[in-house]
Amino acid sequence: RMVATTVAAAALLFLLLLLFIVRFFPRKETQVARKSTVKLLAVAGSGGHTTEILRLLGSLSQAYCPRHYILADSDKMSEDKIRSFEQKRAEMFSDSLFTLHRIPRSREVRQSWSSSVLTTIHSMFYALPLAFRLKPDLVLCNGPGTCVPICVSALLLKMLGLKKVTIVYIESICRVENLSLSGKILYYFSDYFFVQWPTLKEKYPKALYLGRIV
Amino acid sequence: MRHFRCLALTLPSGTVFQLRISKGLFLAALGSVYGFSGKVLQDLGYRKLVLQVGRGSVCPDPFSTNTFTLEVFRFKNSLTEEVQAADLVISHAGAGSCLEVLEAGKPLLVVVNDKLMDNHQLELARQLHRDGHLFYCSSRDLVETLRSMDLSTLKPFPRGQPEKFAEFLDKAIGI
Repeated sequence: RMVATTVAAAALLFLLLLLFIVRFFPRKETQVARKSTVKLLAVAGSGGHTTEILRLLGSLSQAYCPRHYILADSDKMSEDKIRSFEQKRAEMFSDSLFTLHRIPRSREVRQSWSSSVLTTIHSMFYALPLAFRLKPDLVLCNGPGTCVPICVSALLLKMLGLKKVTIVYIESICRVENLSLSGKILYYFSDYFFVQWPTLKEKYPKALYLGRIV
Repeated sequence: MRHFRCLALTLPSGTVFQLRISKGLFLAALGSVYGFSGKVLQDLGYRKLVLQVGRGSVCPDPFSTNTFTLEVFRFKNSLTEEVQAADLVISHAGAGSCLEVLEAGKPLLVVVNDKLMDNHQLELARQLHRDGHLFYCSSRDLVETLRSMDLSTLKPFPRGQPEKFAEFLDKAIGI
């Protein structure tokens, strides 16, 4: 119990430190050179997250390539959805590329806060090397627990100056009045934060609202 | 899909009415409404009920008479065909089910478990109800709602616009 609390406190401190750095480091606007392709990392997740993220990806041009998908190891449904999406995509664009990566789930539904911190740290051990290896230009996520360790890793990449990563968070259409736990955290860490209902836009002024986008 | 019970009915035209109810939800209510012989639904003009039982312990026997057909299954990979063929879908409040049915352009009645009233899962169904896209009731009011609701008052559900997101992203990233 003591150990869990200590680790939780340490992790919280780490997150606060990250937050502090992000807040007070000047954000460089480095969109000078036009890129030809964008290396994309998309976080999938069961319970509708994958369906929503694939709808967003479906509207993106072929410049967003390759697409690296991250999913939780316990996720059984997402892989089929992604493969069938990519199959259709490959029929449209000949140079279509994608990869699938599984990492340990960082949080189960209804898991408590303190134990979530521990499991999130556990999945950080997998997320971090993966993010550093893939070095994406863009991270897209919409709320499965898995997106927190991935975004923290991407943030680290960015802060260490290893890669200019743009983190985009799109809150699920299911969230009308309250952000998800991932949303509440990533509201502060993402470069662009989308909500899909006006109530949330009022509550979170930094959020972007373009209507329903999935 | 794995967790839901689902019922469906066909009108004389041959179309299907479907009911999806979440796990552990009001078998008593279902029993009284449908009696698994479809009495109430027959009175409303439905001729066929397709029921997804999921892992449920209650699994009524399918039957077919001149006036009413009951189809029962536990799981299907996709319910797209059933939804397409339905005149009305009754579902639990799950966001995936709500969106799937509304996007298929089918009238939807969401039945919620009173015990889950504060669950965030209900946020979307409640909002879609406020916006006039679906009917919404508790299990207790199911029969009442089925009898009183007017499907023609439902507003069509516009599709989402991911292309707006794509346009924004292209500019933000600099493509």
